[in-house]
Amino acid sequence: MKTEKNRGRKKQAEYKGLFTALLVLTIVLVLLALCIGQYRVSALDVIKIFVSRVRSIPATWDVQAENVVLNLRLPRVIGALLVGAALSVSGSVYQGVFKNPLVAPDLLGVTSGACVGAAAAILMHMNSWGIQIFAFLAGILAVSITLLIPKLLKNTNITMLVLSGIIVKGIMDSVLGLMKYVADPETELQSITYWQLGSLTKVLPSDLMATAPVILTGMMVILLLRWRINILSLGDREARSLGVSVKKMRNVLITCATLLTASAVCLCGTIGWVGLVIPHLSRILTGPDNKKSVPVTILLGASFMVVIDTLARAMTSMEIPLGILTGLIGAPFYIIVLMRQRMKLS
Amino acid sequence: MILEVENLSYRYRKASSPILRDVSFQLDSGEIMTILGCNGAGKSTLLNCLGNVFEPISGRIFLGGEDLRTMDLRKAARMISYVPQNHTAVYSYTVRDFIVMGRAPHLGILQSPGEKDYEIADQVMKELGISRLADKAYTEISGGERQQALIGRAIVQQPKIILFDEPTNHLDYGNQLRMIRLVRELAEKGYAVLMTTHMPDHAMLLGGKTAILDREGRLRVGKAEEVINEKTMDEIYRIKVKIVYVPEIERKVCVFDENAAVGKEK
Repeated sequence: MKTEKNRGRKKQAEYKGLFTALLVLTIVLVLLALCIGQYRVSALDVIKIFVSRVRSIPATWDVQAENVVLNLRLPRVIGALLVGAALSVSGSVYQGVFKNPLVAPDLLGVTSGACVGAAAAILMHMNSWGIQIFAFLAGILAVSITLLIPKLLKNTNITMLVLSGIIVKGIMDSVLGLMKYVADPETELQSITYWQLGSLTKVLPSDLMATAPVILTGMMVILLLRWRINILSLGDREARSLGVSVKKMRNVLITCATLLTASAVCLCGTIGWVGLVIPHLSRILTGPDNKKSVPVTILLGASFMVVIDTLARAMTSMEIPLGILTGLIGAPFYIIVLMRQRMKLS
Repeated sequence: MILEVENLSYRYRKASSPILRDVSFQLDSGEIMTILGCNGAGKSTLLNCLGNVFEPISGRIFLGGEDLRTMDLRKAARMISYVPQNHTAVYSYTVRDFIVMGRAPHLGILQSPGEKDYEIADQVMKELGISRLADKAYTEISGGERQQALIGRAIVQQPKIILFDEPTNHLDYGNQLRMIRLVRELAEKGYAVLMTTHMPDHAMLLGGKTAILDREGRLRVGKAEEVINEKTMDEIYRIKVKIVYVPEIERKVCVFDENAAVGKEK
């Protein structure tokens, strides 16, 4: 008994160690991201700039540096943190709730739906606020249709929901294709394509003010319910016999995950692979227990996105769309994940 | 009475004929009831109704005197736990993490298990002699071990009633007897145990109440020696059996009587 207790404690300590290491890593990466770019700022200056906001210290850095760090890079870095965390954690939720480790946020059609909303707003020459609201509404609409199809068919089977998501995604992608076809190739097409590939270049503090509260609230609810995802992943009957009201719990979790995905799309357009790969990576590190893997997913997703965004803006003199980078890094990584899973199974 | 079932009926679809008709019985703490019936008779369906998974079309189930229909899901899960026949998980939770999920009905919606809950799980694993499985992946252990883990989870739920769906089904000869012993031990500890089985002899071995679910969906309950006889076995399984007293083991056993069947054909 004593050895079991010690083993339990040791595992808990291991997890705490991992979590702390990731937290430190995230902070270091954020600092680096603020330093790196066309205009280099030293890490010490970045720290001093932040300290100067709360305490008056002699200014030993350029005014230019302060402007670059606080006004240009900081919103992007915060945006990257939020988007990475939101997409990854919503991936975790979908994978758990649908009992399917190969599922991602775009499964429910939210990503495609939000993209259609954004494109529609661009075609109607709306400002960035309009684009955000439209993307958000269309994302919610897409999910509602995805959830409605199984209900209409009176088939509440979980595979039916997955199929329904594929149908909605197909429709949304076609609608988007149509919009691109009719868009003005000089101006609108470029904007839509830009949105589709994903970028954090245009993130403004005002965008963050609008989406951050939604992302943080949704993430908080998921964090509080994360252990229940384990139970849902055992199946409806199992969960019910363990006293969980399956429908309610599942709806709350899907709603939160969808809000997170839609908000991420609002900030940066569509970015694939993150929501699929990061939850897998955290499960490799912590095991499948969501009590441990969800917090790790948040940190990993956030730091991964910061790295990707820094690469996107600093690797070449031209911005590389994020979706391209996550695809190039995420897709091969996914093969490794699948190989690992196969090895485990056999 | 910890479990009372009154005139329970169930059907899968509105048009279809009921699979359970007017099922009534009672079970007290420390009692064992074995349910026999042919394939498809509705044994698992009955357990699913009792386990709050299916909603009966009529009749009532009382857990400790309280109507299951109006009972909070979590409260019901603290009264009754269910060991399904074969369950697999998609994710490779460790056996410890899997067993601790049985604490769910004892925790608030926003709570997750704490040190105490893991201690309960460790204690139960020790009692069942499966501590060595604690860190193994639930998806990678054998069927028999998985069943032990499911039983562990059911006990961790700290219920008053435990339902077993054909617990001996996938077990080897020796483990079948070990399972029967475990069921008996659980009853001795004060749980009301309800199990379905395909082996009339298991019911006789356990003693206690035996129920026969016939092809019409009606349940007959009585003592094992009263209910299990050549006539009732012929009715449910459509085969000939012999109930014989074996002096060496000082009990009656139920065995196939192939000669009788052959004789009849002639």
